[in-house]
Amino acid sequence: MRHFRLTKCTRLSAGLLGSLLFAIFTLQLHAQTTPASQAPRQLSQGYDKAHEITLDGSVQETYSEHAIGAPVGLHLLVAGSQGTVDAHLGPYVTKDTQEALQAGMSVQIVGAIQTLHGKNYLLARQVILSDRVITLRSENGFLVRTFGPRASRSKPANRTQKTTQVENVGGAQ
Amino acid sequence: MTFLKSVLLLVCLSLIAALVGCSSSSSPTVNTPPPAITVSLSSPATFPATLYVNDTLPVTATVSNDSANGGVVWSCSPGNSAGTCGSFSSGTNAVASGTAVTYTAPSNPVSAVTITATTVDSSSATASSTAIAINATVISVAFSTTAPPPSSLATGTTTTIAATVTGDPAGMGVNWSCAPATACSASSFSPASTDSGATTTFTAPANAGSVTITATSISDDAQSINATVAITGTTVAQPLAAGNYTFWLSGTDTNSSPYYVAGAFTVAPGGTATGGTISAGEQDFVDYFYVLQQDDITGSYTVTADGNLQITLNTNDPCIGPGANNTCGQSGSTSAGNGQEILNATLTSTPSSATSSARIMEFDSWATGGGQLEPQSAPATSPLGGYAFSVSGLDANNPAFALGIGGIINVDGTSGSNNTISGIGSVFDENDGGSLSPAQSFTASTVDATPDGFGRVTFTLNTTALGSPEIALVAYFVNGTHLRLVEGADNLGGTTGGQAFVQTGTGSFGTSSFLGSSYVFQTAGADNSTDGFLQAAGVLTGNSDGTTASGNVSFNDLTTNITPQGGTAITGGTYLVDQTGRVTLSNLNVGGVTYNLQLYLDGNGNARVLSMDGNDEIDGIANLQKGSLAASTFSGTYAMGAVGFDPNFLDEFDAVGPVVADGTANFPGLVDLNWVFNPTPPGPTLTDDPVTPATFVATSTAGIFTGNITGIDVTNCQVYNAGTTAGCTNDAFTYYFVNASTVVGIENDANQLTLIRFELQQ
Repeated sequence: MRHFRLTKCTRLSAGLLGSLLFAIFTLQLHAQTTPASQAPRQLSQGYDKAHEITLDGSVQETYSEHAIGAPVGLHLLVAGSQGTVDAHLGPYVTKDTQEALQAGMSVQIVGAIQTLHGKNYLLARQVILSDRVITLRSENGFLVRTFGPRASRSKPANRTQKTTQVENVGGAQ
Repeated sequence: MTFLKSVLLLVCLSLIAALVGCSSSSSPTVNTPPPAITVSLSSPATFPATLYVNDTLPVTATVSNDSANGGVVWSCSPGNSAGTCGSFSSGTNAVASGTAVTYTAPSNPVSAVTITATTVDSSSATASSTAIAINATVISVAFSTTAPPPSSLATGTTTTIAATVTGDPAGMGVNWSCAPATACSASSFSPASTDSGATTTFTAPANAGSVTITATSISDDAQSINATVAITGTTVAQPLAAGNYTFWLSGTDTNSSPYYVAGAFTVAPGGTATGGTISAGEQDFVDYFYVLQQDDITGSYTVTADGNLQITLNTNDPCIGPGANNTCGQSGSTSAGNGQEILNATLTSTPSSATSSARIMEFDSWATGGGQLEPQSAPATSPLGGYAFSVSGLDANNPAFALGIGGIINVDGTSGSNNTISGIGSVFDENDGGSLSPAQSFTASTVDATPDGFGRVTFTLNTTALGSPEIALVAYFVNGTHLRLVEGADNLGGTTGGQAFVQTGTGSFGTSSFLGSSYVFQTAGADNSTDGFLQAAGVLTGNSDGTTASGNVSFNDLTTNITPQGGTAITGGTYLVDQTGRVTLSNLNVGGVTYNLQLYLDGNGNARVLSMDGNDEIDGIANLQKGSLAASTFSGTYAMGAVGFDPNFLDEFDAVGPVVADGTANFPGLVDLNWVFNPTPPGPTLTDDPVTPATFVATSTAGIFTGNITGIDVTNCQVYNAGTTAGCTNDAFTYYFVNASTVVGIENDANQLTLIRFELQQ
């Protein structure tokens, strides 16, 4: 069994820690007792396109399990020169794209860092693979929706003016 | 002197000496008078400055130090007679201290009356009121000429009636009552109090006979008017009265696309108390994959066990309903939809009302969406004048961006034909995924010359902006005030829907059109947050300086922006109104987030809303806030229509159902809910889910309330999500009161997104 002696340094640390805990407790207490209307939480403005970055790295892992407070949808853990980054691709990634993103493959991601509940996420606007560019957000950071092909939207031929079985269109009677 | 005499003398002298000694050691005797009798007027605490002739007033005097309990005699001046100053229920008799007596004002005006209580003891102490002016009765009540009570009414049916009050500076309106109580149910009137000229819905008793309907001035309950209504024999009323209805839905279908539907149908006469037939109708539909124009409709409706209606619409279109898929319209399509839309509805009118209306939702396994059903009285002539509109959804790109367009369409008919739009007096804004195109112009455009039999017209709008697309907005008139919109087949190619209001005062709007007004708004759409969905509600006020704006806003996008319960006050912010009715609200600072909003006014207290900043694209409706905003105004049965998104999959759910607000703190109820994308049974469609507790409490800002709702949390309520054991959360909400008949609610936590509209059944 190891025994620790309370040195001057540890006593100082303990005192500082105690003070800090007290301060945190006090702040929390203050926060709990301050009406929300008097202390509105500062809100984020969303995707920060003025500070976009480009990240080169390799995919370590993909995941989509949702945790409360975390962004919904597909995430990539990408290892790059700045360490491992959690890149958020969002809820609208097509099945083809999900299947194409495999651990170990090289990717380039254009996006902006956002901090949520103390954790940094790279909100991906584009994911660039060797053979394609996947757009996930608009230039202003809005998530985009990718769909399959759709039917022609040409105008149908004009139809005959319709009439109702109630002769006088005068509302519910 | 004998010895005995000497002894007696000595004793007598000693007694005298003792008595003298005693008396000299005591205080002198004083006859203290009893405390003076006083009298005071103990009720009312403050006498009114004015009464009306023949008004009554309870008065009480308290006498102190009156050991004889003689009490007081009441009198008044001048003249101390019923004719000159009034009378007392005690007459000239004495009443005991603390006994209430009724004072009755004279039957003629008197400039100043004083009421006096005089004690009956010999002191005749008095206490008098301040001077009271007795005014002639100026308040009068009359039934409205446009909504008078009928002379007869069938049992169990409803009618709307109104009364006008004149000469009431307090503007208190009337209380409604029905007699005899044995014949009239407690809920004969909804609401039981109305403003002058406002309608209430009277429900006839279940049994034939005769009742008396009375409207009584709230300010002066001596003023009333009544009418006798004969209640005639039993008739079977159908819940949706026969006639035409306009409906509109927006939601998400199983093509994973937003969709919009607008249409109209005819409820045939001859239904029963439990249902009826929809004999004809047509609708327009758009989602990302296809546009379906003028599908024919037939169908039916039934009353469900909870009192809601279920409406089945049959389009026979294989692109709609269970079995339909996104290949519809393409070569080799496998789409085999059954063509059916199932709608659940909670009436916003009393059952069988001649003006039946409802909050509706799609309630099947193919789509979920929310909207409204309204009685239709479409104009038969060409649209003309201004229309304040907005639509939103997705653009034509793939991948697609959130798209919103709003503005004013001025059908000015300057080309010699009523159905032409020159572009003069028209304006529109576009927000496409945060790329903004403000204040754009239409070039020469048209609208159909005449609505079809279901009130349908198409606005074909041209512009040289935005790559010169043609924008086709299919519109179904509800009535002379508003239309429901879906985007038709056009080369803009968007998937959008919305609403247009018919303007009053087209081209003559200015600062005064918004100055001093507060509009409650509710909007939904997208933003550039992590999850991308945004709901927002609040109140926007044009300050009296004609420049600055204020108000309160609640935003929720689940992750980045969640304003605290009670909303956040707007700081900064300006407004500018142009002559088209387009209001530009700029730099609205909501707790550090800046928003720009456009309002498009109709001149009648309604507006469409579109955000125009790079961070979000939301659109919706705004209504002028008016009338009492006290908790007591949220009272009665309301149709609750909710739209939301769960936090794990961002999948839409919708709910409708009746809730009963008590005017103080609670509004429990039941909802039918559709979470079509629910990954874990028992979903997707469920009925009669309890919403309780549901609470509201006033904040320090008039018209803004906070509270909690338990029972619509789709993730944690087992009734929706069999895979959870968490139990329903008690979600935090902010409520914005529009008026006594409409309340908007928005969720202020990260449990899910929920936006609610409550509409009074009336």
